[in-house]
Amino acid sequence: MVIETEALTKRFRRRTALSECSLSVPRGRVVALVGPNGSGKTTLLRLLAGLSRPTEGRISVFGEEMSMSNTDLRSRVGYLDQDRPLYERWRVREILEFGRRTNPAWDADFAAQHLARLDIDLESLVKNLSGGQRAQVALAVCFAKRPDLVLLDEPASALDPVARQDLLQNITELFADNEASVLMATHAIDDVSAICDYVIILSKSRVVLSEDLDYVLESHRLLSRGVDDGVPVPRGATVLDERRTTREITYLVRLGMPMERDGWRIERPTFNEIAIAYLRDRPRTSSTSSAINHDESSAS
Amino acid sequence: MIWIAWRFQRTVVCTLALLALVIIGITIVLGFAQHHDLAQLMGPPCRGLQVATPGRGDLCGQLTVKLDNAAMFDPYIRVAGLVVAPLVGVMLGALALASEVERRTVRFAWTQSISRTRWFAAKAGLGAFFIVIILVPTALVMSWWNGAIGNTDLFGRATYGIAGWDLVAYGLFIFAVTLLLGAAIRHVGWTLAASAVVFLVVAVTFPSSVRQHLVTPTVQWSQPSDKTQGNSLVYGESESPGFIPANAWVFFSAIAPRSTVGVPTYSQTEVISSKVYACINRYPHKTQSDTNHATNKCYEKYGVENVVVYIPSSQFWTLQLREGLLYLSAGLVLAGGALALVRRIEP
Repeated sequence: MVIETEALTKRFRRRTALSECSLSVPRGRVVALVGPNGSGKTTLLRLLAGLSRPTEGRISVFGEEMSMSNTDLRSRVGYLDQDRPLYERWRVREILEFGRRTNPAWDADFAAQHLARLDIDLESLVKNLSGGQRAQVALAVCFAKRPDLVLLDEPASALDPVARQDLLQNITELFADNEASVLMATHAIDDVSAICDYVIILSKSRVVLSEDLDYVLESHRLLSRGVDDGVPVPRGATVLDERRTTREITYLVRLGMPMERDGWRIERPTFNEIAIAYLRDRPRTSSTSSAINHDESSAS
Repeated sequence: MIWIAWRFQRTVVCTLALLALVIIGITIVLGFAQHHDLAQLMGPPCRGLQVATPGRGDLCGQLTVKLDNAAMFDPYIRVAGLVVAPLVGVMLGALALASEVERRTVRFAWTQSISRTRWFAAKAGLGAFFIVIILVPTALVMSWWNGAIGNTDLFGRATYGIAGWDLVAYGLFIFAVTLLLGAAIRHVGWTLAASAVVFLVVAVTFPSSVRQHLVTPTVQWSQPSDKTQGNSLVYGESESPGFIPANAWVFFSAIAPRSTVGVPTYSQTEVISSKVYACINRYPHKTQSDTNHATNKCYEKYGVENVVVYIPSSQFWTLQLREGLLYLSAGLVLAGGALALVRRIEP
């Protein structure tokens, strides 16, 4: 496992930013960390980057305890902050020099080539760069460090659609070139299915889903049938969300076991639909036999 | 890391160095001019006479006017000398830490493969180095200027701080104060404001409450009869070597019991003084001789003598050394506190 957390909790005075978060992330994956604003994504990434210390619980990266003083471990982790806090009055060349002087495994050729490919002049001042260019410079530093784990906090936020698409494409390419694990926080769900293969959903400071994306897509279904049929939800299915029209009712369910069609119209939901159902965090109902039980157990 | 710390501080360092150079340049030019005019005035033909004298033309009067005109700039130079150290310390201290935390660039720096301790050591170390580079020449020139214009009052409030190496130590101390406040407050504006308050508090309280305790003062006892032999208790007059050496820092001169062990305090002398003066006043004072007689009688009756408590000018550099070491020690402790906070900051 590249990341393992155990009952990880972070409180800022009275506000709980992350609550008893336990998760494991396998190596070599591009992981999406999805959640609405304030759900704890940034807090989790900062804890993983060694910028912050947990209030309670444990956090390990590559099997080692991550802490604010563990410089050796931090050298294996690249971090892109959501604010891209680069030195405004420095030239891009100087930012890369900063990276070279502070990272023993620095790949200068990679950083220069990456920025040259994007037509970013190394003599430009950081303050004169566009949001997209600034993100690319920060990303170049992040990957030129040759990290084994890359943490990206909203890498495509505040970018226009073209810049956003380019950046995500670059991340995919960089991931392929570097063989690093990537954990990318985003509230743009569309980005997830484009480049990620593992997903963690945070809602209200808690982890509500942490699974392989393919498995998530395979284990959820949209079940529809007429409103008046009165047929209960199949056994082993947990209802995450429901939509009603005058004639039809549709459930988004998580399947605990293979189900029979039994008159249901079954469709594959998009990741968007699944993620939104988890993010709404409605009380879930699970069917253990032929009736719907209204327990509020977490589906994840 | 040194390159990074230099790259980060270079604009402010160059600006402060330029400012110090301007102050140094002006001080040197004015100091040379004043020194030259003063030497001329004190030498022949004027020999210290400050007015036009028959046979000497108007040279002496002109020199006096020139010196008076030049002296108008003295307070500005003193203020510049007193302000430059805290200014350099505060600016570099706020830049080194508060600025980075406020702008959140520490999130970038602290996620590279360097420890916070190393990052802090490079920034604080280089900042301290530049403070020394900027303030040592400033202190040397200020100290020279002070002598060049004939100012021998080394312990004066406006002189002491610029006439020795304490100017450098004070700059380093304020730098450490600003580092600590920057690590605690994490906002440049408030850090500057809080540092300015600390600077004012230290500048006001230190000379009056701490400095005088850094060296043991000299206690000079004298009989009242000495006074009648033409000596004077007036501070700073070189023609009164029997009582107080010239340019000493006098804490007080009063009447105290001869049996006092160690350094008498001013409050100790107040009580006995009132009794002795009441005694003297009971005698008739028709002539100076009557007064002397009354004084001697009363001094004898109460077993008191005149006492002067002071720090002689020969102790100036000892005082500077001790005060400077005190500032440096406090600065090191404060910098250690700043490092402890830096290791705990969650940006």
